Amino acid sequence: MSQVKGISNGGPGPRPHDEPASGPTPEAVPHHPSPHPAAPDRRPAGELESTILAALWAAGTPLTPGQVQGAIGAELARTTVTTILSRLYEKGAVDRTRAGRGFAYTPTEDEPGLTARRMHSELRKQEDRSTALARFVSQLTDEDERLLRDLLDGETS
Amino acid sequence: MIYAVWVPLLMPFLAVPAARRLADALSPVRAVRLLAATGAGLALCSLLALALLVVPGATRFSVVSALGELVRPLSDAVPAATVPLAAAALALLVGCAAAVVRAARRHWAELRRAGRLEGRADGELAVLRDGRPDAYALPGRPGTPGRIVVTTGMLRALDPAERDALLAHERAHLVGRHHLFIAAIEAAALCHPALRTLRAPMAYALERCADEAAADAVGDRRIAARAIGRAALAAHAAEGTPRPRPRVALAAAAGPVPRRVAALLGRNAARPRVGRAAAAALLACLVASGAAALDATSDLHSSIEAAQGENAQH
Repeated sequence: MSQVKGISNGGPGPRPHDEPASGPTPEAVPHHPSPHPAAPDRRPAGELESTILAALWAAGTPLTPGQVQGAIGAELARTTVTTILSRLYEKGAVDRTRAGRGFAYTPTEDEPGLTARRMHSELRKQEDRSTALARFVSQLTDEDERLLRDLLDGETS
Repeated sequence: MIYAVWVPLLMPFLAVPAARRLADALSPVRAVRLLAATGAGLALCSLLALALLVVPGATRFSVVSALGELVRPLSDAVPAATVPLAAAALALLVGCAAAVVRAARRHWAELRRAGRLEGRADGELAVLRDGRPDAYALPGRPGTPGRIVVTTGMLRALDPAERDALLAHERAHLVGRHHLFIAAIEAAALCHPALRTLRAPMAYALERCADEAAADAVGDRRIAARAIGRAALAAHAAEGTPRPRPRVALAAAAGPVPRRVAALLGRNAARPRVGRAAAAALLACLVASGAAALDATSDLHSSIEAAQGENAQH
């Protein structure tokens, strides 16, 4: 997969253009300004939580804040990542284990996850899926698959 | 009223193809509005027409006549057909109402069930430990934000930026309360068979809205396009045997996913130049439908007044 601008140099350490609001005080984060499309790290805290949680689930192994920083698409200060991870830990969405001087985090199948799983299997059983759900992608025919591969190949070459 | 009352019932057959072609030529947000307005407007007009067909037949019965303080039944051109016609229209009306109520209750039950996820107010993402790639937005009850449900299989199929695009896409569905549009178009489809073909264009237009929102959020249309494409390919690979296209098959050769990707990459065929003609045709249909319904209503009103003996001199 081609590397995306913004994550290829996702090394540790804060960047010069990190916004001041993500400074050392955790209280500063919830008062982020409204999201700006061009600056992913200025998104509301709830969206960043989802991004980080998704990265932890995708990794499948415990990640330290530094590793999380490299595993997300947005450019975030280490302090911001740590703050969000602690908040997720307080909510019970992640578990943590000691790793060196800090912690490594793993996602937990929390209560919403378990409820969602039950509903998911109920939904799968329903013949005529739900009227309320818009799936991210619908099913492909073989012709669709070929078209799609052509489109994506044309993009990377 | 004999002629005017049929116009709203027949007009959807002309208006729906025009609306679909017009939706193709519009931006996603406008297409959604157009399809919703067309579906709701035509459905209401055809329900009104059915109601108007019921009334003359009903007045043949003395109870209804007494209730309406009529001195004689409504005059009609073909008296022999009035009662069977009214009975058929009534059956259709009751059938529509029952189907819409059933669909509304099911929709509400789904929202209530989704509301179980809202026990704790915070956190928009629910991840399922499941290797099959899948993702959807689960709308909440009114006033609650709803949740994004994603499987681990889907998260692992995408790279970090693509995951952000996926989350932004589903978030756009929730913020825009897109499920209401789907429910509205489903309800319209239950009222008139011609309106069923609006469902697929509506679903497509809503996906395109969310795709555009995702492209804005990640700041790169190619990332959004890749996210959709790779998610669909991963899901397709996990399905194993290819399944037939669902019942709402699209007329175009390409299914919705390749069209969405092409639209984000700016590679879809030039927009058809049917826009203006289709818009004019659709507008004409909607106006004709509404005007005919109004005309039939006022006709019925004056014939009721006549039957009440108010205009006996005419």
